[in-house]
Amino acid sequence: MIQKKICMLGSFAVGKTSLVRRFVENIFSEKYLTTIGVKIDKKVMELKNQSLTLVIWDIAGENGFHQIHGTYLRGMSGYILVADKTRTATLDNVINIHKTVAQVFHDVPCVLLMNKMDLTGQWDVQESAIDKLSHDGWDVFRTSAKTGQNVEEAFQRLASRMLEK
Amino acid sequence: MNDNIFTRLLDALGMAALEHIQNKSFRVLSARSGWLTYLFHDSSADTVKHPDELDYLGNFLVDAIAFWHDGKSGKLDSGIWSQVMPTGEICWFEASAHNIDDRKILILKLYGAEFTEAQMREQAAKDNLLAFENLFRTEKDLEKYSSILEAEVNRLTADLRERVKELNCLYAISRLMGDKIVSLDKLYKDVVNLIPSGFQYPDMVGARLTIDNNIYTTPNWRVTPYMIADTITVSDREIGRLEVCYTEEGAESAAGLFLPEEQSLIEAISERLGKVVTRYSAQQNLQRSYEVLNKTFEDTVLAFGTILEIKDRYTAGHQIRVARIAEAIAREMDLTDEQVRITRIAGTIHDIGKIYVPADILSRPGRLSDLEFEIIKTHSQYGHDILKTIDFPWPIARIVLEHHEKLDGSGYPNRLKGDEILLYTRILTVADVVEAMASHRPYRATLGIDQALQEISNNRGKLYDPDVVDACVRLFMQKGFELEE
Repeated sequence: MIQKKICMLGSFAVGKTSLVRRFVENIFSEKYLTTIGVKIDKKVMELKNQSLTLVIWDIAGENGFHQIHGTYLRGMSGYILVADKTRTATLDNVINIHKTVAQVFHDVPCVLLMNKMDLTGQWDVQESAIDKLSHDGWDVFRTSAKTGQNVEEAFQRLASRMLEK
Repeated sequence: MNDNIFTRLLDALGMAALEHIQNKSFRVLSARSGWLTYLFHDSSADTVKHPDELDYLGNFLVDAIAFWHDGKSGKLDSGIWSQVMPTGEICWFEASAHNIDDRKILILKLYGAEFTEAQMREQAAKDNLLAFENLFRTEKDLEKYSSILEAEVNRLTADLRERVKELNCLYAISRLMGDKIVSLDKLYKDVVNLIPSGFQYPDMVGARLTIDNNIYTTPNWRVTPYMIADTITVSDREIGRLEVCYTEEGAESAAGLFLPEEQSLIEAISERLGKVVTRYSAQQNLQRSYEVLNKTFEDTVLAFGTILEIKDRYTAGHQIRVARIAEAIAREMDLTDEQVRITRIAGTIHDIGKIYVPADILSRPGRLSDLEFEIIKTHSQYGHDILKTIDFPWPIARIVLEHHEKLDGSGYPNRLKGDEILLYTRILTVADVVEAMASHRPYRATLGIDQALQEISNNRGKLYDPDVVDACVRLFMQKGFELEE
């Protein structure tokens, strides 16, 4: 069985744990629990007629890459950057994280999730800014851990890209 | 330490100790806790092996093996991680690698409920931070919320000012009512004039109080379309009415021309007026009862004093006349009404002890023998003994005991001197001497008021209090005071 490690990266409270929970257990809870240290989860998925075990590292959200333990990322095959649609600062943060990670982990695939799309009245990040990222080559998904919007699709995309490597 | 105790202790602390053998295989040194099997393959009875997965422990073991290999001192920490167990439960772990006596030791720690609670506290703090961050995301948001907050603060401040006005008004009225009420008429006038101050637009407010068949109004009172009113009741009986008017239409609030709190204010004042009328009525009744009781008391004391006259007709009226003189002296000395009253009551019964003196001694004409005089002298002690059993609020018994004491200590029964003798007594002594000399006695005719005044003047400061003597002389010589027959 193929096993791949992926890391969830992003500011605190952007919804990384909720996205994992939605993906692994198809559950969403309004109760917000801060992730302490690293939370490890697993999900077996079928992809291109292969069984793939995703070992998902949900890393506690901080506001800068320097605060993430460097060894956490060792052995990862892909990573998911998560930003909060209602907080522009979280998008700026994941872009910075990406710049730093990409310097060490060349060619490791990643996707960018613009989460909390369900909070329509509170959107802060401009749609035009997201479109521009897509235009610049980012793999961007507008997701909602609450409704499940594009969550499966985002993990599937990352898994596909990891298998292509 | 005994190995058995060591392993049990580690188990109780939620810890496990393992020794690395090779290729992520370990010998278990501590108890074999259930949670260990979640992290390792259970290889045999004494050893476990990590499944070489991409999990957190596997990641850490890469660094740990390098640490052991290099033979470094100290320890290498993994940091905390949580892992979803096959049961769905989330458990927190921490690991550390140690080189101890060339042995490669791995310590694993499972965190329990206390750790979870600590995390929940941290969670709450972060939630608050997030809420704040969400509220004021941009400067623009800050401005927007600032203006909303400012408007809300202004609105609440304005509301608060109104409440303060109403409370001040109610407080002032309550104070008026709390004072001793001398006149309801004055109280009503004051209350009516205070009412406008409790309203939003005091200059435009008039008030009218109809009570006790009288009408009290502010100068600007008139009947207008903008009025509120409330009735004043005592024991469910309507005794009056309080009305407030706006003399012109003011700014109408959402609740109408008058604020709900202003209606409440009128109701509160009406309720207090009802209570004050009740209290005043009770106060009046109490005052009347007190006056009746006082009169009854003095009548009783007077009746008590007249008992003596049955035995001794020569002293008939003596006590009453002494009481009158003593009262007049006390007034002349500017004593209080209460002190004057005490002096008068003591005078009325000061010789009550003579009830124990045989009637023939009291009434017999001619001079008394020494023995008879000694018997007479016992009357002040007997008087005291009779009166001390009565719960007077004043020192009546003591005054009676002392009324034959003299300033220089030559009196009886205790030969008291100067200030040892009560002022009431010093007044009574002078009054007693003057009355006795100016009246007819069984053993002699009256000596006249002039001789009586001469006697007290001659002994002024010696036997008698000089101030009392002066007051007494002024009464008779300058103010025309006369003894009644």
